[in-house]
Amino acid sequence: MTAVSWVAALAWVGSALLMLCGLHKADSPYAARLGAAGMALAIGGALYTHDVVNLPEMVSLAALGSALGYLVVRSSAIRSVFPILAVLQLPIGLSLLLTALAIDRNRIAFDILQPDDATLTPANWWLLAGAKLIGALMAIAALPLCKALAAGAVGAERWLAALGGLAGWGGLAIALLLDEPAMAVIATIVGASGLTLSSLPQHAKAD
Amino acid sequence: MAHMTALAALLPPLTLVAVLVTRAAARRHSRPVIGMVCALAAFPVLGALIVAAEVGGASARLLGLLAILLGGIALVAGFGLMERFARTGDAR
Repeated sequence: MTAVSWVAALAWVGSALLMLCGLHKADSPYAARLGAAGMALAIGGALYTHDVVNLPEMVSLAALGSALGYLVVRSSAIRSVFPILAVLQLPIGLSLLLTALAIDRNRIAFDILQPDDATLTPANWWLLAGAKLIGALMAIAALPLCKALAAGAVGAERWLAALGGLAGWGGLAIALLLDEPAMAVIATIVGASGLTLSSLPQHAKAD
Repeated sequence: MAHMTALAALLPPLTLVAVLVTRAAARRHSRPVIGMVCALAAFPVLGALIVAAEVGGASARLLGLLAILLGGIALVAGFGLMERFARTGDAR
């Protein structure tokens, strides 16, 4: 195991705790802020531990994405939150798919090849294929799920939780490929939570 | 995969904690917990950031940057919607 900076370790532990607190206090008004703070801490920790070579482009695209996300929040009716959350699984799935494709196109940089530098190791091949498959599946399933939620279909909320959980497992594959423990921790929290919520039998009538 | 040993020890108990926390929260109100999981599901942007930060090739960098754009939309919109959802009181 390689040494980890204590600043990064602190950020990772803090982000995991904030996300678990956000889940635990999900019905409180400040839950979203806890989750967002956890995510910000994880992003800060991840960037702190890597050499960033494309910072201007990354900041520009992140700012543009944030502005578009803010427009989505401002222009949406609060009654349609769940269908919109379902639609948001489409960019999440595409983001997962594009990340996996970017890793696939730059195999040497991410050290996922066998010692002969020609082929992927079997484990990395499966992780890459799994991430691509989950990303594509999320992108395909998002719009039909949005329609089902808008129509008030029974059990659609469970499928939404399952789709959110799927992002967790796809992200875990990416985290293992990139050898990113912080991302693996967050992925496990999201994946396990989504799986738990989708398997609870009383969702449809709980509220 | 230098951190594999640590992860192999850490992830099973963490999964258990996540399951217990989610079950306890969902027993009170399941809708906000589903919303929170969907907002947190935007975390793959973290992977996109790491990939875009490290790649040098043009096509891979373009893919990474597009992933950041899409992940950024989902991240801000997800947490923003949850914030509005909680403020209106519909979360319960």
